[in-house]
Formats: sequence, C-alpha cells, structure tokens
Amino acid sequence: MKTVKDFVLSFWIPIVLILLWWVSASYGWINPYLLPPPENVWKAFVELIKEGELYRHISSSLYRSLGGYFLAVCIAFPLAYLFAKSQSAHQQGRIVLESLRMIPPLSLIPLLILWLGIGETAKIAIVLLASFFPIYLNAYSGFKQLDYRYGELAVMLKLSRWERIKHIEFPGALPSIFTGLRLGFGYSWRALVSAELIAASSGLGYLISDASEMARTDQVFVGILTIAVLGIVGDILFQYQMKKFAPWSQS
Amino acid sequence: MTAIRIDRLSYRYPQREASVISDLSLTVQEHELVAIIGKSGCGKSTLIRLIAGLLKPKAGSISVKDQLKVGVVFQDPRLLPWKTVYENVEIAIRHQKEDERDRSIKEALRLVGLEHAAEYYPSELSGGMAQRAALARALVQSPDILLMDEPFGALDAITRTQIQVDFEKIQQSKKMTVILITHEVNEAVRLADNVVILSEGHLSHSLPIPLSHPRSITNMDVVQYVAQIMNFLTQSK
Repeated sequence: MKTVKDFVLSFWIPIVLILLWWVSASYGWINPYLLPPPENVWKAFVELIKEGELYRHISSSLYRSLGGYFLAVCIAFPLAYLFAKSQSAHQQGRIVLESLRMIPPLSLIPLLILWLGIGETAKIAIVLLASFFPIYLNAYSGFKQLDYRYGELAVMLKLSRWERIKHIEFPGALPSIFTGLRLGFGYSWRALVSAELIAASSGLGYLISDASEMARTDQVFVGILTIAVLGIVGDILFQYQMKKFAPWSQS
Repeated sequence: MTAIRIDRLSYRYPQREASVISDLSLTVQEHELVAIIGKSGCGKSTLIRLIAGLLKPKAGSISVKDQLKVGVVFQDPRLLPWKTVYENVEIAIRHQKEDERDRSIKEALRLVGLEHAAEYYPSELSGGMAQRAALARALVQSPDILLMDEPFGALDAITRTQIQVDFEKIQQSKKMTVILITHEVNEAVRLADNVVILSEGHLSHSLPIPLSHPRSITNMDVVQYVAQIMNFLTQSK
C-alpha cells in the first residue's frame, strides 16, 4: 500500500505534465515546431536508437563526465583531508581555491580550448572544475566537523593515524562526502552538456545543438530528456549507495 | 600497592584565571574503587581527563604504576554510529587474533547483558544499552585501571540502579582499580571502597566505606554513609 502511495506521490506531477503536453500538441494549441507531440519525440528516440546515434552520444558524454569526475574526486579528497587537518596548509591554499571557486567553469572554455585544444582534454577539464568544489567543500566540512569527542576516544584506544582515518574520520565524514559526490555529479553533468554545446562533434550537448540547427525539435527533446533521465538515474544510484555504505546517516 | 599517585596536581584551562584543580593529592591502591563526588563544576571531569592523559597538568604529577592497562568509560557512551555494538567493542582489541578477539567480545557483551544486541547499531539502542556497550568496550581490554566519568549520570533512575547492580557484580569478580566520577551519593556508597569529596578543585574529605558487597541502598549502614556524605557536601563550598 505504501509503495502505491509513494509511486502516486512521486509520479503524478510528471504524468500530468506529459498529459498536458500530449493534449496541447494533439489539439494544435502550440506550434509543433516549438513543442513537438510526444509521439514524434518517441519516434525520433527510436530512430536514434536504431541508428546507434543515441548510444554514441551517451557514451561520449559519460566518458567525459566520469573521467573529469574521477579526477575531481582524486584531487578533492586528499586536499580536503589535508586542509581540514592542517590549519597552516588551509591558510596557504585558501585564497587560490576561493578565487577558483568564484570563476564559473564555462567562462574558462575559451582559455581551456586555447591551452588544451578542442579534444577531449578541455571538456574533461571543464567537468573537473565544475564538480571539484562541491566534492571538496563537502568532504572538507565532513572532516572538519567531526565530533572532537571521537578524537579523545581515538587517543584512549591508541589508534594510529591510519586507524583513525579508517575507523573514525572517513566513516564520520561519509554522509557529507556522499552529499558532495551527489552534488558534484549533478554539476559535472550540467557543465559537460554546456561544454558540448560549444565545442564537440559528439555527446548529448552536441546532439541538442546539431538537432537545433537542423530544426529537428523532436531530437532536441530526445537529447534533453535523455540528459534528465541519466541525471536522475545517477542520483538514484548515489542515494542507493549512500543507504548501503552509510546506513547510520539515514537515522 | 599503589596504582595511581596524584601529587600536588593543578590545572587551569587556557584563558581562565582560576584553577579548576588546585594542589590536589590522592593515592589510589590497586583493586580499590574510589568514587570522586562533588558539586557540578568542582573539577571532577577535569581530574579524570588529566588522569586519562587527555589533558596535561600545569603543575604537579600523576603517576600510574607501570604495565597497568587503562580503560575509560566516558559520560556519554561515545559509540561510533557507523559500527555495530560488536564492532564498537572490537575496535578496542583490534590487534588480538580473530578467534581470541571473538571470544573476548562475546564475554564482555555477556558481562554487561548485551549478548543479544551485538548486531545492533547505536541508533537502535536505548540510553542504558548504549552505556552498557561503552562499558563492554572498556572491559574487553581487561583493564587494570578503569576510569569512569559519570557513566550512569544520564540514565533514568531504574536503568541506573540496574546498571549499578550489574557493575557491582562485575567489579567484585574482576577487582579492577576504579576511579568513578559521580554526583550520585547513593551510587558512590553502593560501589566505592573509598569516597573522596572534591570541592573547588581541592580534596575536602575522604571517607572509607568498609561495608561488604552487595550493598543495598536501603541497608541502614549504607543510609548512614549517604547521610554523612550529604552532610560533607552541604558543608563544602
């Protein structure tokens, strides 16, 4: 019963929106060029799947997104831990990091293209810059805000530095780390698609941009909806992993 | 044999003018349970943190007999929320061999009456169960000295009485050297061999309790000691 109620609560708004879309398209209330009927979008979706085009664009986007995201995680975690534990290191690095944080990654696209070319590296760099700060800031606050009483416990239990990280600091910061990873994924996805709109020959952003130039609004919709669905799937996966690896954060 | 010797100890928190502990001397014998009692803010918790080595004395010294293992039970259970009760106890003896470790953990959980809750997470425990788990974590190390900072202070009266009775039994079988910080006079008289009254960082009175165990708080001798300590406490600053 609860599952049915949850389903209704979660999906009634999207279902109503799709129905409105379908009705307005069927009765010709809105120009089909501006808002193609759902069945046309579905046909375009099937066509792109059959041609293998959608798969190609998705895999290009995922490669860039996950590549940049992975690099962001590799840099953000050690830096967050170092800065949370060393006041002096934090003081030295803070101004550079804060300055970088204020610069929108997309504004760096011209420079990145100039320095790194129009290949994959520039797009991965944009993803890295977009996802780094949510991951870093949340991990930093997770490590920093750990209850000092656990520090006393670690002293009494004679935990080594590594044991402290393993048993106390990392699990203690995990809920915050997961929040950062989840936010970072959303940021990386959005920045990537924007980057692909400007300089790419594949990827979901490119699909949207190319379809728009060809006046294929149905394909534009396929691209937008694919981005939304993949983003939601990613977010659900994060929530699932959080429940699995940090069940205490739910209580 | 002396287990802990505190000599002219003083401690002052940074940015505070007055000392919390001032020129305090105390000797605790092996296998003795000393209860330190006093009003709020008299320096009880600071004293135990000094003995545990979590604070460094500004003057004086604390010496603990060599080779003695020290366990601590804090005022709050301080269980790690991401570990089960079993794992919370396990962390204290993580370097022991696996089968030996498992035996010790089960024995410690049995002693505190938590063998059924080994797989529970701290969020699933009541206040009393959480404090018992913290006690098991200290006991599993087989400490020679146990430092307890108001361990039952946050519990309701019934749970507190039950856990006191259980701890009294454990202490009678293990004969550890215990320093128990408490503000409960009944608890001090029920458990201690010696009750020390702390007032404004000084040791104001020391009262041996030569009664046999188990002690009941309705026993007339116990009641008389309680009254005597209450009297000292009302006289102290």
